[in-house]
Amino acid sequence: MLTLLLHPVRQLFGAVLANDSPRQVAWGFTLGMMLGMVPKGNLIAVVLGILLCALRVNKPAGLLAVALFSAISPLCDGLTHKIGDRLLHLPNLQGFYAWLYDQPLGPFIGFHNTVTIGSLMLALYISYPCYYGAKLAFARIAPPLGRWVVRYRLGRALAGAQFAARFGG
Amino acid sequence: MRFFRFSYIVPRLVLVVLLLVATEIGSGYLLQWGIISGGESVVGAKVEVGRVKASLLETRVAIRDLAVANPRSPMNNLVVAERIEIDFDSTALLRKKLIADYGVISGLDFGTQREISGALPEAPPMADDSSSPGWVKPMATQYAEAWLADLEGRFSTDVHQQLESVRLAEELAERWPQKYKDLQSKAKAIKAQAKQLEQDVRTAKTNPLRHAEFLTQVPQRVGELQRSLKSLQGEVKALPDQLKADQARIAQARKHDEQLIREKLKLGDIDGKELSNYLLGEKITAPAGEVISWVRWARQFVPPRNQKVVQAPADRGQNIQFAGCQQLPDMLVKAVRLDGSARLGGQPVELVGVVRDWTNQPSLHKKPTTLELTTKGGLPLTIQATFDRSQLACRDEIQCTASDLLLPKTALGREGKLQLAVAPTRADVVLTLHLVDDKLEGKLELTQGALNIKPTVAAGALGERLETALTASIGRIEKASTTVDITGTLDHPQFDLHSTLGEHLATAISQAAKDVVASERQRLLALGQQEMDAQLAKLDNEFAAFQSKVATELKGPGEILALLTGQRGNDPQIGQSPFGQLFK
Repeated sequence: MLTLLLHPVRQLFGAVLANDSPRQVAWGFTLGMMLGMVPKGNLIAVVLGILLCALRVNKPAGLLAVALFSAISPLCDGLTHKIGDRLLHLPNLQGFYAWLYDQPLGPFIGFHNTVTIGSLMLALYISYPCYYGAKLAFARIAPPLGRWVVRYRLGRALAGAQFAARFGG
Repeated sequence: MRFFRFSYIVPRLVLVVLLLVATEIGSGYLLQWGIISGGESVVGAKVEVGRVKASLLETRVAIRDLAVANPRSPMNNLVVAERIEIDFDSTALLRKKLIADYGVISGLDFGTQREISGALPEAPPMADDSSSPGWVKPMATQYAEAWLADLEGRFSTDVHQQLESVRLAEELAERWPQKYKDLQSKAKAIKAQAKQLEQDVRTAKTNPLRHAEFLTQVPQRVGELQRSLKSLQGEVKALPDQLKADQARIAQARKHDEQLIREKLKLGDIDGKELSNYLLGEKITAPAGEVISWVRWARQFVPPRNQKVVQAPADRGQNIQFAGCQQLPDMLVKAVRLDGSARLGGQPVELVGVVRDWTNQPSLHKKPTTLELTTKGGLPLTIQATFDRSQLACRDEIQCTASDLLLPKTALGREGKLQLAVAPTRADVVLTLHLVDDKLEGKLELTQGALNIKPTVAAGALGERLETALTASIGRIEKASTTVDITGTLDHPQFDLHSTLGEHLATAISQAAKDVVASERQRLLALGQQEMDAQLAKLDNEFAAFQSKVATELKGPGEILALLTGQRGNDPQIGQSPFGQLFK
């Protein structure tokens, strides 16, 4: 039971201390950011979720990003609505939108919602800076954080023996 | 390929497949639960489903043995369907639309009895409004019944007993014999007094000195008797004049009696329209009312108002409607074949029909919902209904047509008053209803031919005679045309009935009643005259007998008094009495 309760905390540590490469962690974080930004309940969110789970990326980092950006995303609704509204009212694309909407599963994609498409665009726009930032941050934070964790019994318990062995030498 | 985690993907794909299999199996149970719980919350009574089979892959739903209890009458079902099968368009489902091209609802039945009560345990009991007020204006029934009651009342009271001439003649027949008796008594008394006086005078004259005092009083007593006699003779002499005056009073009373009989037996014309309402009202308008009830019921399943398509507001942002997108309603059933049975006008009928273009968003579909129903069996009906909700106002049109419809033997009117037994007949019926929102307009036309009507009249003593006269009059009515104008609202329809049958019957009844009344009037007048003549003849005879009798009675005292006064007679002892000598 205790293991189950501590699982999220261990995952949090795992996101930083895992044996993945900085690229995998950064990609995981970026996909998580995109999933967190986009409103749920549409095929865009489902596809992003599947990608996050199915690709060889750091899942804990992705879930951390989902939680973080799901909290931040509603604060950006004003901006994302404006972006989506502008995009969905582009005259040249109206025919394409109508065609896409009439396709099977079209209404389920969710692209006709201003915030969904706006937040997806915003997430795509910030995806590279996010990836780059996450990669740098992981490279810098992971070693000192690992050493700090193994210094305490609680940290070792939370992070797991494998992490302690890795950073404890 | 190194980017994909197959260890992650494969188990989840297996899970998805298992989920699909579970959905195929479990969706039927889920739908069954949904139909029961949703149906019960909407209807307010038990909804039972035998078996539901639903396939997500085939996009098909099959429901067996659906029974919806009637919340107002829990021991009856509102509707029962043996089989419901609907094939949904799978591509429409992928577009978030529930669209069915074709469906079947078979084994429909309405108002069947239940073995177990259909009331929900927590539902409050609903008032049973099956005893709805009569469709016909109550005034019509009251009017016709009042006319018949008036007719009956005129004959139930004994007019003969109210005749003044008869009463007066009877009174005279009692009074005059008493008068004769009194006068005869008086005459007899005078006669006895005269005889006594004569005897006393004779006795006194044998010894005048001894009876000197008596003899001095004789003239005075004779004078008194003469005055009495004269008075009596005067009374007898006046009798003929009194009799004539009484006969004149009887003649006057007779005139008054004739007027009374005319007034009492004066019969107003019955209004054909009111009589139509009385006789045909419930019979004709009840089926129309039943159709209106069905329309009211059917309207529960067609959106009652034009529902504007309002996209569910998105939690975040706005959902944009793109120009050129197909505007389809969320739910659409293009055609559903119906078959089952029902009771119309109290007769069981088998129904076959089609419902087309039923949708929950009519303004998007732009086509009205239509219903075509035909019946098999003894009630050949065609029902065509259109429920248009594409405009702001709800417009419904219903047309029911029945040609050469066999109407069963029926009784018009009410038992105990005037009732007409109509033998089975053929008729053409057309019912048209137009509804704009709740405002109702319509017409029911019924054309009957080869009518065979037998009247039964219960109107007191008059009934049998009126019935005979009516049978003769009604026998001439061969066909009838009835029209009912329907107005008001769906909840409170008003019927205005016009029928040639009512008019024909009114004429026939009025004529028959007038004939009977005229004959009764003649009978009463003749009876009164007969009784009065008999009484007068009796009076005349009695008077003649009295006159001769009284004349004889008064003759004796007159002669005696004449002898006593010496005016006549040869008796030496009296006529030539010593009165003169004695008292000179």
